[in-house]
Amino acid sequence: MNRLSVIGLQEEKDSLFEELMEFGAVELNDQSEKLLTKEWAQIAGRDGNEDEVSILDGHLSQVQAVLDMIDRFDTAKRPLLAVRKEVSRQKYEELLGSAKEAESEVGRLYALCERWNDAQTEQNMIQSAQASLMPWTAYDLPLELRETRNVYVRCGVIPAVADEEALRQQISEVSKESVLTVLGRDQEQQYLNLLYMKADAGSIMDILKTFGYAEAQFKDMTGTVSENLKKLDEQLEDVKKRQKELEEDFRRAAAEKERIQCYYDTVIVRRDKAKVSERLLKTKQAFYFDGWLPQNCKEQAKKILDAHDCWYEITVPDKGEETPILLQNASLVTPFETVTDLYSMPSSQEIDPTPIFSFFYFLFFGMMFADMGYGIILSGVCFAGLKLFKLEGLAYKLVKMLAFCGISTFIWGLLFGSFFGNIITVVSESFFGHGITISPLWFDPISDPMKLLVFSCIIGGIHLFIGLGIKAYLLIRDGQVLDAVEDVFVWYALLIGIVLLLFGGSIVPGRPDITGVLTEIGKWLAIIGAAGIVGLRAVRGKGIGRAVGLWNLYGATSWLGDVLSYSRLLALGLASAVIAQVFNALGGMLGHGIIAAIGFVIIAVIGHAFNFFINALGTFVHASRLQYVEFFGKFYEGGGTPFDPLKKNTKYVKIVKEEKL
Amino acid sequence: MSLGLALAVIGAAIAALAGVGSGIGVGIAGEAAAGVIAEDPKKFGQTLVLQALPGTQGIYGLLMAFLILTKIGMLGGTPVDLTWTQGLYLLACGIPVGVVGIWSAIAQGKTVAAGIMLIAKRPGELAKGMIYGAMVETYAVLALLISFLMYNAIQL
Repeated sequence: MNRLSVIGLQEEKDSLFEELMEFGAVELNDQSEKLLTKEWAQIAGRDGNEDEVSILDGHLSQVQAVLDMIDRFDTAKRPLLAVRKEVSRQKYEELLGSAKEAESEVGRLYALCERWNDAQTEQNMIQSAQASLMPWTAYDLPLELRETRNVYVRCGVIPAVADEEALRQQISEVSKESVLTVLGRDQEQQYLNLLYMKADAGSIMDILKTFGYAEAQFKDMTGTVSENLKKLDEQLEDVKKRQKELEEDFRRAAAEKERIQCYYDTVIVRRDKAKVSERLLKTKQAFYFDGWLPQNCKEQAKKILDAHDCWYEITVPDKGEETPILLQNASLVTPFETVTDLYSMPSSQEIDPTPIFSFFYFLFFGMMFADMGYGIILSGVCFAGLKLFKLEGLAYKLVKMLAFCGISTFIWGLLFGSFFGNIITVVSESFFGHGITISPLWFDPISDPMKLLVFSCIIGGIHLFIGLGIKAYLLIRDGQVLDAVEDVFVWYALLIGIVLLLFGGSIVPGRPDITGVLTEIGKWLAIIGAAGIVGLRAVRGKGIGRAVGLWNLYGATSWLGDVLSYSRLLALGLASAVIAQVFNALGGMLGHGIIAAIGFVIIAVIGHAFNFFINALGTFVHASRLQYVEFFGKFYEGGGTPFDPLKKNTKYVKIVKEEKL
Repeated sequence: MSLGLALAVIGAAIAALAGVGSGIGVGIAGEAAAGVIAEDPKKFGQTLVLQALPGTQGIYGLLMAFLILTKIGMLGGTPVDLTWTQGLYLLACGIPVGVVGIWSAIAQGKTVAAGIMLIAKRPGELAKGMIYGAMVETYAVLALLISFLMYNAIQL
């Protein structure tokens, strides 16, 4: 990563940033801190274009709303995966047509959106009005009739638990002429109509209050309830019809979808370009920015800057300075950057661990999944996915990594003799009468698990030692040689020593002379290592810190845990193999004949699909975990910021140069 | 049927009990996931991945139960005449994966439920949620391994 500072003329600003966005390899820094220093504040001010940015943001959300509406009502089949479409510059211009026209089209459609939303609100209001009138359908007087010359006409509700008989009786006691009709009841309320003499109003109201009576609100409705309901129905029909028409409009607009998507992307690019100003400093005639540039893009960047008459400086960052991180690896390794991405970018002080662990990831994934059939499916599906969909970014890397891991799965399946578990054996036994077994190239871990356990732990030990080695490299690179000795090399001595001491006798069986020497070497290595761990700290530490070495020595126990953690390579490998066999065996129990064969196929397909998904997931998680916890734990911290260059961050189309298509 | 055979079948039953833990664990995670989906349906795939994690203990249990049943000839074979010592031995084989499975799956369910909450707020951190879940899973894997090694060491 190189640091880039540029001064240019205001009149070149637009065209320069247009080109830098196309170039896509320059990250701009925030400049607000500079303005806090006096020297900068005196000569330059903050550039900025917040108004335009917010206008464009508002516009973007309108375009998005239009696109959402089209998607909602468009009946055409949608692609399985949303990927950016690759188009040439010329095709893009063709699709977009004139931006002005596209804008007015979006304006027209957005107005339709609003009308549709209004209709939706109206529909809700009508429906709630209908719901409130429903209980009153039995009431056939006009709603506006509230009184006659001598009588009040009232509608209202009392709670469902209220005793309607008691109410009737109490009312008839004060006024014989009153009429109380119960129009209906539901779980919550009883709906009443009440006619009473004006003269009795006071006493009747008192009685009603004690029963929790509440007057019904009909707002300004006139006519009978059924008339009103009919009217509302008609209104609802009308609103629905309007919505249908609008929806039809959107369906027709689906033909314009691509154009609107292009327009959306145009607006995004315009917005991002307007946003650039926030990161610039300006004087009357000139602008200034600084930022980052990947080393290998230097020459191209120079060309662009020269063409726009800019003054610029490209420098190597100071030692220890934090820079944004861009992972750059060979194409075989690139997919495994997924694993690093998902953890954390390396800080600029660290090295990118991807090339080192990618081989182990490949290895571990295969060991834990270990089946020829599953490997073929995984690779097949992933390679097909890469071919059919133009995936980008993390999704692309992940799918490609899984495709590679499928190859590893196949290889380990071959070594362990597993093809959909033991499907060939079961099928040949059940349906052809004589069992065929595929013999493993290496050995069958189900019958000799201890061998694989030892192998797993050895591989794990190597993995961990490499991790520790990287730590030594980083320490030595930074000139801390003594730290490297204390943290790494004496540990190597101790651990190798212990391993030789314990297992040296079984490395070369039947040769006591050699094993004796090995054990002896192991003993001395372990002693040197332990002495180094305790002694170096005692010499280098201060005060009570001198004794820390003893505590560090105790850390050797964590190595036992770390190495045993790799036993999951065996356990998960067994899990996927044995469960595959379980399903085969279940299918095989059906017996012989055609029907049994059909049953077998059904059980095998469902069972293996299930086993495939659950174990692919488990394998992915545990292969990652071995990197994150065991391997990274030895040297890696991460915490770098990913490189985020100025570029055309479009959503729907990706404009590519002519020659690429 | 001999006592030994019955004991071995009990062992298989204990192993399969790991499914209790998985059921509870997956349930806990599912509750959390449904809450997140209510806010943002696009996260269905991510939450499903996390929800599936506590399901593995049940599978390990199934695996061990199946192995034991096959060894004693209860599945597609003639039942072996076990001594009660052999039966007790096979019963012991079922215990690690069954017992560890139950509690580790419940704990893992809680962990991934928290992970689901994590991706609700920070969609980019799925991997970290998964790793926290995998930390719990380790012990179920170790239990499966021990069960398997015990099982593998006996010849009938």
